[in-house]
Amino acid sequence: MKKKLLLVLLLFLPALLLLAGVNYFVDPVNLYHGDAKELVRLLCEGKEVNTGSGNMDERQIKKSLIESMPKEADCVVLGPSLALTVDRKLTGEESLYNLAMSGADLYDILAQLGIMEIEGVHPKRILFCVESSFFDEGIYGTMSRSAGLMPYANYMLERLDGKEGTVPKEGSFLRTDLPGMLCSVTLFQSSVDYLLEHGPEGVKELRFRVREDQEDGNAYLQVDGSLVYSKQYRLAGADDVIRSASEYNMDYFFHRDGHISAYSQEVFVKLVQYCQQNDIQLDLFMAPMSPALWERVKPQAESYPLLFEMETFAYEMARQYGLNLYGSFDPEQSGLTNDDFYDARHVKYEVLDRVLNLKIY
Amino acid sequence: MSLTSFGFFAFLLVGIPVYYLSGRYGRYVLLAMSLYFYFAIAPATVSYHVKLTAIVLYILTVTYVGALLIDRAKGRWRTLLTFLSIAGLAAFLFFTKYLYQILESLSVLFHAPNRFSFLQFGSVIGVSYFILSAIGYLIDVCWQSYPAEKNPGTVCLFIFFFPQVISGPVTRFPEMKEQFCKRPVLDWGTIEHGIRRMLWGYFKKLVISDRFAVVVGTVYADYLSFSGFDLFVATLCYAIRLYTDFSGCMDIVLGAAQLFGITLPENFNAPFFSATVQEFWQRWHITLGGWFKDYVMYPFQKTKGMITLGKKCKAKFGKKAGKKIPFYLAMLLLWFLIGLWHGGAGYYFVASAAIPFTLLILGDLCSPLSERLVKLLHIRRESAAWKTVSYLRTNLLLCPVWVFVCAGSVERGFLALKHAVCSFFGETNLSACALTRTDLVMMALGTVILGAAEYLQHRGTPVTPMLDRKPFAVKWLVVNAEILVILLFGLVGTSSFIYFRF
Repeated sequence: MKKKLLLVLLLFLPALLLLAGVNYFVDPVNLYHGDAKELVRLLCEGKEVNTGSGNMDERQIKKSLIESMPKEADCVVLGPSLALTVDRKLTGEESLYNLAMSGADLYDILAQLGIMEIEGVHPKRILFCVESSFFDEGIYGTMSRSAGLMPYANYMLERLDGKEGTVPKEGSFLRTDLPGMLCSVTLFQSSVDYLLEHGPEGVKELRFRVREDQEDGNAYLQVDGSLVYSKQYRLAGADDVIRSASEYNMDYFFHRDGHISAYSQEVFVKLVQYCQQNDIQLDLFMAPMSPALWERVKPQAESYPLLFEMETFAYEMARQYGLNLYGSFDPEQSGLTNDDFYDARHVKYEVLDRVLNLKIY
Repeated sequence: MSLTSFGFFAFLLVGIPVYYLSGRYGRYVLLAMSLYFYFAIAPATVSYHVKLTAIVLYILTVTYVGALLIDRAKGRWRTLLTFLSIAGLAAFLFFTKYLYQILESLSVLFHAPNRFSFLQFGSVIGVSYFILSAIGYLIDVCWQSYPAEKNPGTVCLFIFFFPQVISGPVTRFPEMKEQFCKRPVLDWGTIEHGIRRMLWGYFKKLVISDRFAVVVGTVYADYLSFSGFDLFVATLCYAIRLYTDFSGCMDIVLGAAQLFGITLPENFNAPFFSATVQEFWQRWHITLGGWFKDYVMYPFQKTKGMITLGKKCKAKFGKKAGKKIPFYLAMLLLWFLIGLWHGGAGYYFVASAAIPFTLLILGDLCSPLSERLVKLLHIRRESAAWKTVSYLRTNLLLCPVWVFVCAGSVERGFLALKHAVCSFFGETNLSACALTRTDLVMMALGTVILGAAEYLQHRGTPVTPMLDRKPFAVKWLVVNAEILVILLFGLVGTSSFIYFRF
């Protein structure tokens, strides 16, 4: 009996150990090596951090950042990746913290506000990036980058309704799928592909680390949580932008024939009122799209009513509540060309001030 | 939870030791696991779980109480109660699977507005399979094959046993009860075979099936842009795709059951090595065909009406016709119901009923001629060459079945067939499938390995016992090579199993 058990284990265990071992040690998406608290601790010590492969749990990191930041910061930046590069140098605010995250949707932003509320963080100003991931149910209703954030989003929704709110339990934001991911076949395949391309020595390049070499060209997080893209990305030219624009999935991101979500409008109004009640200046900005992409959108404007409804809504909110509104989806208004973009959507840092200085209202 | 998810493996990992430590309560552990599994694979909403609870209770009540009442009744009451119980189960199947479709089709036919969306219940996972098992149980009790089961837990476990509930095989009560009621005895050899069986299933599904699906999807999405030859290749790809998907699923299901010492019936027996179309359908989805034969076709043939018809035909048309005509009518009923079971949609009906029935009838009618031809040409039936020709002929004859399934409608099916014939030598465009070198190698390697394994099984020397007789090192190399191929080249998360949709 024992011999049979041993033989069965000998037959199957090596493969299982190989699977789990490769997944753990290579870990191309930093599931097991991306300690958000440690990363934020380095930022708080004034160190810039190389993001390695760029695969990190942004939601964990920004949550840890909120927990570490001063209770009365000058400004926090909220929104998707379009706002990731806004930093202290750009706005001139010494105590600015960038809480933007790739693909941040309505629930992500509500969750961040909820965490700020729990931590007692009350910034003087919120710079909010108006984008479809907040206002399009087709996106925020289906995206689930981190289901663990939902308790915080629900808490904030209750607070916006004037209720006490149920504070989520400590540790409710832990990823419960980590043990299972050790046996993930797709993670194994990504790990093997990475090893074949970069070799075992390349594994350390995947991890975040203190930025010591100023010239290494990797993407890095600044101490305010904003991101500086990799050198390669920063050197994108008009051709790259045009190609990116031609491949951009407009039907998904701008929700063909879709309209602005009534629910998100309702939430946003409550958010504005909440900010005004708590003496938080709420400024809105709309990140322009590249001319190459705008040229695709314009002739089909009727098919993408969501974009223009968002713009109208932002303008209406600014008018009704006396908010500052900066920028426009139309790149011409900011005088931007394709050379001023990293890709179809992301404005280059060097010209971002033109967007933030374009006061629409 | 899906059969390829970590959740499923964790479920097995927890369930196996609990089962083997449970002693005489093993079947209740299996029952708890089965109900948990059935709810875990369903959409995770409260309303759906409430619906599912009602469904489970309804099916169990009709089956369990129905069987007890049938067992106690006599004469006409027995027949009436059997009819009512079966009607109760069949009605459920009809309402959840067919009613909305029928009303929607009628609305389209009569250009009437479709006001029946409230009847769209959404799919009930596994309904087509467990309803058959339950009906079979009721009929067996009616026929006094065995007494009705007094333990509702055993009946519930029989209907909802977790590896088989979502896609079969269709099981029979006495064989399953005997295994459920046995005290679990841990046998590491059985555990090893179970895992190896599951690995073979994952190899078929993840490495082979989903790659062939790319060819099928690309060509049939716009078949007029491809030559007849391309259509022919895509059709063969579909046959491989369907077989590896369904039989792969069965391997995982049977392997998972084996981990608990439960042997489920086989659903496939090297079908592509069939000398005739009849033999193919005896080797393909065996338990479904067997169920319809035992509970529909044979009883139908033994009815007074059919016996009388047989006598009349014999008197009028001779002895042969006297046998054939009732037999063909019974077959017509059998295939009609099989077509209905597959969903009743037009093209699926043509594919899973009309064409197979036609081929079988033609095969039967032409068999005397075929015999004469073989004798005339002095062909040795046992020769490898003739067997190969027979296998190829069978698989070619079945191509129209796959064409209709791939085409997705009767009209498109006929157009595709016409295009395949008229443009057979047109310019080939298979490069549009954009398969990588890795994909092509895996498809070729997978097909060769599959073909070899199937051929060995066909010859009566299946791979598993053959490998068991080899030194451990050889077995270790083969098994771990298989695992490595799945890990490196398996396409995970690209599609679900085809037969889940029934």
